[in-house]
Formats: sequence, structure tokens, C-alpha cells
Amino acid sequence: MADVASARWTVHTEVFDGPLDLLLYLAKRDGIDLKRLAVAVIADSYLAYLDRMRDLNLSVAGDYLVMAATLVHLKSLELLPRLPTVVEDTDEDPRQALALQLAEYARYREAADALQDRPRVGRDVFVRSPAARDKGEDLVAPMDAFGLLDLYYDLLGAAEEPEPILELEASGPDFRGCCERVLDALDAAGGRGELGQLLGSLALRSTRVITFLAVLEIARLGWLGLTQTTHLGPVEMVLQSPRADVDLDAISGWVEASGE
Amino acid sequence: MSDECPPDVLPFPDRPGGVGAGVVAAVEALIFAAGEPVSTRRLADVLEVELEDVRLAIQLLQSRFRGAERGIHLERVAAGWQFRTAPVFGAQVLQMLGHRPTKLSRAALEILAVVAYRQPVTRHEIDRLRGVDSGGVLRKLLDRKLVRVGGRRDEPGRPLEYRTSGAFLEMFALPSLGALPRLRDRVEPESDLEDSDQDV
Repeated sequence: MADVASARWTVHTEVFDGPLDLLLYLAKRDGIDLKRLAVAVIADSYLAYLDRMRDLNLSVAGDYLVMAATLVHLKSLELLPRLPTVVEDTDEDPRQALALQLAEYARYREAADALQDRPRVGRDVFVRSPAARDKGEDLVAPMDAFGLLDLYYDLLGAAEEPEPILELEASGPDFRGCCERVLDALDAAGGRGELGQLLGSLALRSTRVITFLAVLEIARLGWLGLTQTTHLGPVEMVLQSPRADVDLDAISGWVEASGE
Repeated sequence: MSDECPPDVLPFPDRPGGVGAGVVAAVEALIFAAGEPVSTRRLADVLEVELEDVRLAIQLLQSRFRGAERGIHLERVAAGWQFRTAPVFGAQVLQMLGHRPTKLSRAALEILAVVAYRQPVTRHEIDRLRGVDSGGVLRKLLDRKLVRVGGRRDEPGRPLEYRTSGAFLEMFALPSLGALPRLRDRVEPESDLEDSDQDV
């Protein structure tokens, strides 16, 4: 087992899903009771394992190193005699905090295993295929990023009408307002609309750009589906949930956060 | 089958009149045609019959579509009803379709478990619980629509909150989130950690 270090070996799979996963494995392997975490023992096993991962040319991610530092720190605490006053001041034993974190993680690992064992659609059980669920619409293909990019350049170039010399708007076009207008327009039209048409109806290039970004953001958050029947054809927007369910705070939050 | 029942009415112990065979057949047809899970309410609306009639029809259909002698089962998933193939034939169905089985990495399953049991949950809470960055896998789960954005947490930074989706319930054959197996009780670390080395 120990002499597997060979130049020919490349390990593609991630062996452990993070330091807690590795700690759980080691605790199980070495028979360490999680409730009474023997820090000195587990710290040594952990560090030995990290060395072995390096021998196998596995890159050791930062999370693992942070945990190594934590374990070494906890081990050092255990070796040093503590002054009684210090013990009184600390309301929580750091080792206990780690044991708690591990125990909590172990619960969700078990839950994940239970999910893994459930009959799963597409693996154990099968339902009628989406093709059979065709809703009688035209055959549509989901939009790809390049189609959207073409559309974006089209709309930038399509500024035929001269921009007004003087623009009297109380405030510039705002992202949230554009999101609302997109959603309202779609809602009024029965939940669907055509992207080029929507953008073409806007006079100002700046408004068009922001509206385009608004559509992308709403689609990214899954409330809007974008489909295109033909190559370079019109882009159909379909609301994926009722207008009232769309949480505009989630949509425009990042713009406010980034200090628009 | 008892002889007292008229031929077009199926017997039901808890309802003297039973439910018409026509309703049972219609419910069967609608659930088959829908493909995706369809609710009792929707079936009653379309068929213009009482909710109770649909319930009885489903009860009867469920007793027909179950067990080892049927290849298709009637299952309750995501607050609706759906016909699904029996799990024992998973491998054969896959082979016939020429598909590869739906795979989820252990990291993905862990994140799904955390979101399912603790929703609404923020990315930071998931990362902290797993002790490792979960961003990439979480994004894939969002793309696969198993996890959805469920708003923003009212705290500094207004982080996004995540929830499981209807597709999650469908994928794992769950009628509702309440049907998730109970999470094991928290095991409190023994408080005698400090006592154990009092003599240091």
C-alpha cells in the first residue's frame, strides 16, 4: 500500500470531498470515537495522510491545509498545561467545536447515503420521456450563448434613430425597472414574447442594453426560458413561473450590492 | 369480486357507492398522458368529478399497479401521481434506451442533503457544514434544476438562499419534503472532554 508512489501514477478522481470527509474516514479507520475526539491521534493520521496524497501527486487543496493547521493547533493546546483562569474564560473547548462540526457533517453524510440508495429517476426508475411529453409546440432548441451574443451585437448596431440630443429623465434607466418591465410585458402577453421585438420597441440604446441584461439575469435565475426555433431566428421568451412568484429582490440585489 | 356490485361500479369498502369504472379508466388515461406528476385536484377539475371520486380511483389504480407482477407502478411524487417503471428493471430499461444512468457525485448528494434538510440555506452555510468549497457543484445542481434560488437572506450582503425544487422530489421519488427520511439526531459530544485530561 505504501509504495504506490510511482511516476506513472496519475489520480484523476478526487479521493475525498474535503477535510471533514477525510477526518471521518480516518476516525472510522482508526476506531476513534467522534464524541471523544482524540486530537493527538487523529492529527498524526491526518498529517500522514496528507503526505501520502502528496506522494500520489494529488494536489492538496487549501481547505485541507487549513484543517491541518487547526489540528496541529489543537494538539499543541493539549500538550501545554493550561492556566485555570484561561479555562474559565473560554466558554467552549475548541476540540469540542471540531467534534461537533464532524458529528454534524456525519449526519448529512448519512442523509446523502440515504438519497443515494433511493430509487432514482434515470437510474432505477423511468418515466415517460420528455419527447413523449411534447406539448404540441414547435420543435424548439434551447438558446446558446453564441446566439445571444449575435443578438446583442445586432441590437447594438441597430441604433438607426439618432439618440436624442438632450435626454430629460429623472433618473437613468435602472436595472430593477427594466426587469419589472420585461416581466410585466411577458405577463400581459400570456407569459411569452419575442426578445428582438421587445428590444426593438425600446428607443434608447442604453435601455436596450440594460433590458437585455435584465432578460439574461431573469433567465439565469431560472424564471425565464429562452428558445429559438431556427438558426438565427427569433428568440422566444417563456416565463417559467407565474409573475407573482418572481422575486425581484433576488434579481436586482446584485446590482445594488455592486453599487450601480 | 362480489356479485352484488353492478358491473360498471367498482366496489369500495369505505364508500357504499364505489366509483364508476369510467372514472377509474379516465384517471388512468390522464396520468399516463401527463407524463409528469399530476395532482388529484387537476384530475378532478379536468374530469369534472368530485375529488373523492379521483381519490378512490387512484386508490384502486394503485392497488392494481404495484407489486412484483407489474412492470409499471403508480407512485405519489412531488404532490402528484405518476406512472413509473418498477425499480427491479432499472438495468434492463437503461440497456434498451441505450442511456447511461443518471449520476450524482457524492459531493452533489451531500449538498442536496444539506439543502433539503436545512432549506432555505445560504452558500456559506453549506460550505461551513461540509468544510469545503461547494460553489462549483452547487452551480451544477442549479443548472440541473435540482436546487433553486428561493430569495435572499435578510442579513449583511443579502446572500442568496437555496431550496430544493420539484425536480428534486421527482428525481428521488418523494411525495413531499416531509417524506424525507428523518435526519439522525444530533449526537452531542461528551462534555467530559476537559475532564479527560484534568491530570495534565
